[in-house]
Amino acid sequence: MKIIVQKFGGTSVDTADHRLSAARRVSEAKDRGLSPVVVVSAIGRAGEPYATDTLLEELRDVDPLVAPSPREQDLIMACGEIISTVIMAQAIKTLGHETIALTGGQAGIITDYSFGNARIVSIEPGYILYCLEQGKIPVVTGFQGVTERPSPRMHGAITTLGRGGSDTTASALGYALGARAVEIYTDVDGVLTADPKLVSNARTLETVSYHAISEMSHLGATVLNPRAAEIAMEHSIPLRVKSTFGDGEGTLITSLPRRPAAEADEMDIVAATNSPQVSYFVFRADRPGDLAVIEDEIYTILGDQHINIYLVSRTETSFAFAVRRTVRSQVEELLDALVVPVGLERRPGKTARGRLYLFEVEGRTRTFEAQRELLKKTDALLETRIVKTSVEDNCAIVSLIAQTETTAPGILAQLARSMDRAGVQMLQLANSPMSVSCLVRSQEVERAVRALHCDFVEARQPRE
Amino acid sequence: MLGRFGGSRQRMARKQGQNEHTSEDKPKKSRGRPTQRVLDAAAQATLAVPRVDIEAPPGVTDAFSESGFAQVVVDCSNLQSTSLNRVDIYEALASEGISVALPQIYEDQISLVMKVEDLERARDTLEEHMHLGCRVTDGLALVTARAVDMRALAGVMSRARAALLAAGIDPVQVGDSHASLFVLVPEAKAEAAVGAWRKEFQLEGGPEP
Repeated sequence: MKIIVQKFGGTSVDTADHRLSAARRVSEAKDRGLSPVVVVSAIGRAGEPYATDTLLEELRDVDPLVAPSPREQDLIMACGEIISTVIMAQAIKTLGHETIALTGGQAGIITDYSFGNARIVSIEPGYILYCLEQGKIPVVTGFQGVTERPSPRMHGAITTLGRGGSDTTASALGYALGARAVEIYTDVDGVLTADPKLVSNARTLETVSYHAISEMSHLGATVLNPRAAEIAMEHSIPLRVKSTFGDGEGTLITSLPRRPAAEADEMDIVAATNSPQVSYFVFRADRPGDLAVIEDEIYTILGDQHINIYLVSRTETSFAFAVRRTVRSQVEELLDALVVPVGLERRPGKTARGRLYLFEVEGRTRTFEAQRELLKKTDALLETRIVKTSVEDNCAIVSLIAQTETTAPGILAQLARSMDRAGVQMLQLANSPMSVSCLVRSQEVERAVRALHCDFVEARQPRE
Repeated sequence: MLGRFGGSRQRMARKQGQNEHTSEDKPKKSRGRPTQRVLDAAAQATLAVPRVDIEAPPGVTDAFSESGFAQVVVDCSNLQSTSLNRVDIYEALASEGISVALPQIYEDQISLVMKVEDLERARDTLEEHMHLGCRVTDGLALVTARAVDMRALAGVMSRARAALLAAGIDPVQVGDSHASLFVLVPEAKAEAAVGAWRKEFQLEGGPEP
């Protein structure tokens, strides 16, 4: 059997015309002697009746003060894909093919219990293979799976795989079924060199490496879920991203060899990405030796609240990190007037020793002042020091992505020059063998991405 | 007794129509009693195809160190009084063919990490030619923890830092990406740092021998 997995995104199945275009893609594959397995996303985007966000909103609106459980949120979010899968199966049927619609669980997709962002632990491919042997086209709900049955008398819980989870479903099925390729159909022509909303002349890449697409996805590109790329990379499954509606070949995602050392002095840039909605926190304390304890305390507090931090940096007297902007207020609340004791020691018959570090969060003075007043009572015993906390609220990370790993010496300098010419201030920098990123203010993102695209992508002919 | 109970349940099922079966799933008739669908051996074999493992759970998967690094912190507080800007610093190093890693920007300084063999040239460029003040720390090791889906792992930084703190190690510099976490520590403490992380994240082999 020559199995091919074809995944259709929400915009490929949102109208009868679009569904027909998608169904024709499946029909063509079948006519070419392939055995297609179809994966479908929910119909449409936020605001449309069966879109995932709409369903979730419906549940939350029951009573905004009573939070639904993650299990129930996943159950309702899974409905969007179930509806579109059944409708898509019917659309394919109208072209004369026998189809069978399957939920994630029916398709044998077993996940862990991380509701809202579950990982696919394993797939039991038997039933899909059986359906294919019967000549049917299995149409599988993307974005969902089911947990292992806790006991033979209990069913597993329906879980969802997080944003872009249908790509992960497609890639995972591609591997489990031994598919020849996985095709990701969308409303753009393939993987673009930049966000076309920011860069009008962004072009479609013919080929991109697994590593590059993974890096791009992690750094803001939304065309493919990074986990889908990583599963495909690990198992060497060719992925192709293409338009449901056009005739283009799209972008082939595959493994590319490292460049010979002689060519590795120049970074082989393929794309400029942007990851918006970032807030950047900077903390300053004037006693270097105490910083490690303060840092540790903050990371523990944030970790306990499941808040991810990144772009972490430190000097002798300061440290900084970025968080998603959606959790900025929560972080501020946690840190506002926080007191961290350092080196606290009580010696019998003597005065206590140690210092108290009081956090002063920029723009939040009331609690800080109240706390400071209270701490004055300990002044005779303990020294109180201030940790000044500033927040750059509205930032974004813009990045240059390389096709393969390189250690080009000049890339940082070129990026800095490019940003300088564009009048963009870099707030922080980060690099890896596959990318160079800088943190910029949101109002400068467009200028930054355009400059990077112009200086690095348009100016060079990447190896494809 | 058991037979009567079974019969009544089957009658009830027939009454309800059992409509959820598709045509090929419909049970074969056997003297009026529903039975399980009979599958041939080939179908049985297909259905019994074993499970395929897909994604590893998120977590730290490896910890290791690499020696031979130096950190250069360049004082930029007086840049405004010169004709230089920060970009000139990066460009000057690049023109000397010096690769820098872990670049970090601060209010009045920038921090760069490089291989120790590039240090002399870097100092010459920055201090002698550009007349910039530098604070240099050499004899450093880059300790890296690789992770699956680092950004899904809230608290990993806290655990990593706490493990180092417990081992008495205060990193010179820290950094992260979506796939790894790294710290710069004195070479003498690299082994202990790797061991602390291996222990904390229960990596195979435990602390590095």
